[in-house]
Amino acid sequence: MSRLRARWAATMLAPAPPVRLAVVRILTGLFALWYICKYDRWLSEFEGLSARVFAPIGLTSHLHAPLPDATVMALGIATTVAGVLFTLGLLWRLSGPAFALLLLYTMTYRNSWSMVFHHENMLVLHVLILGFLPAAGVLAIDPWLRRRWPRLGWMGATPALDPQPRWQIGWGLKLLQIGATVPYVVAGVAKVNGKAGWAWALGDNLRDQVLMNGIYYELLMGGAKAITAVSIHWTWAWVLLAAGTLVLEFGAPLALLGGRWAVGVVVGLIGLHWGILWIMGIHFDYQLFGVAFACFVPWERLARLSRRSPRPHPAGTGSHLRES
Amino acid sequence: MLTLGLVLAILAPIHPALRGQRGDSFPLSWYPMFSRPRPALESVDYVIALTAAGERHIVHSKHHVRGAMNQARRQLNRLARRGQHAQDLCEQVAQRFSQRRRGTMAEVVQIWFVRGKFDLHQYFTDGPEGPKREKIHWACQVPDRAVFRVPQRGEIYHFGEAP
Repeated sequence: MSRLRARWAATMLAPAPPVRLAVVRILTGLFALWYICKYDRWLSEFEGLSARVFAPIGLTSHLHAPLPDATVMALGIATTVAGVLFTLGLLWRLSGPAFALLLLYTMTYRNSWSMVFHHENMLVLHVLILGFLPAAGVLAIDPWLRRRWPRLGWMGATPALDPQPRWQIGWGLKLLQIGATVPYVVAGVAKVNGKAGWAWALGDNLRDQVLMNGIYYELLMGGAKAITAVSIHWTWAWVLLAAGTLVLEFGAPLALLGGRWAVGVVVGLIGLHWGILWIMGIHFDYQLFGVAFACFVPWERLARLSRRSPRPHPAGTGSHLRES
Repeated sequence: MLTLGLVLAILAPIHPALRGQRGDSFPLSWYPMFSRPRPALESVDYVIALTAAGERHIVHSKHHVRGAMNQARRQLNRLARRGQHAQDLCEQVAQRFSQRRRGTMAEVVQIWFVRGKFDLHQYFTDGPEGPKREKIHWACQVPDRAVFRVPQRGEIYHFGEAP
């Protein structure tokens, strides 16, 4: 038992350098900003649609009607501004939690119009975790500000962090990794808990889901993807796709062990999302571009690698020749 | 403790009692997509436009609801539940089409908001066919166009299927 506990502690509390968490902060912040800015009216998209299709969930369950337009606009602006500060690592003690909570609220509000966008869950969960971690001690504006104006601490600026690995950073990254993998287990359980049970792995359910998706595209969006009609003739492919999906979903937490496990699981999950895009046209952008799995990457090693293998410098070659 | 709390919070929606008032929540979800077995005949809510010659045209969801496909289908599903909401949607589309002076939509005389039942395998194997049957949520006349009998809410039309 004590050996298991020691193994658990060694896995969960393995030290990591602050630069790793800082890179994840920057990538996640940039993605969140891109995501909310790519829609012209990301929060007011449903403005004027009336309360008929408003179905508040989660944090917005207290609402009985849609928010006034001015409030929605103010929330949208505040979230974007907090997102910029979050990404820059500016006034982190305020901007980190502020962006985490604002994004949680505004995204929940966006999901309160009769449809939950499951591709937004992980992004919000990650920002929520990141916002309360010491992720702006390096590669951020705060340390520079604190060096110049030490008194700015009261405004929420964090001091520079020692670049040496520390368990707090490693643990923070593990929380992010849990947020990136455990939801897949929930999705896997939902599949085998349904009427099909473990027979879900035979692929019929998955194929029918793809066809259903196709008919909705036909009747609502002007046409289904051409692959929908082709895929109905696949037989063994559906078994492979369904069984592979279950293996990946239930096996996702193995990535927490790191090393080859993490590489295998992350590559598999990114492949799963590209497959969903190809067959069903559903964009899980956060996972597709790999940002969701940035917490698995030892960024400091990549930086070291790029420093170790420079291209031969013409001036260097020249001086060597001169010496000889 | 925090680590365990996070894991338990993410896993919590596996239990039906912890899925929120509406059966799913955000950002903690039980990811119900792909889990439900599909029925033999799939029900879909959609809007069609009919010309005086009896031609049927599917109306793109951008004319009556907002958002991408999944959001559009959920909104239509919700609007179909109440006659007043279905009527509002139908009349909104009819009003919009009454202003068209060119193209197919200028020939449309009626708008139907319906729930169709489709055999998905047949639809994608034998080529796009119409629904097996269609139930009217609401139907309305396009203003200032030829007048025909407008079906009533709840009327059912059968296509190649025994009633």
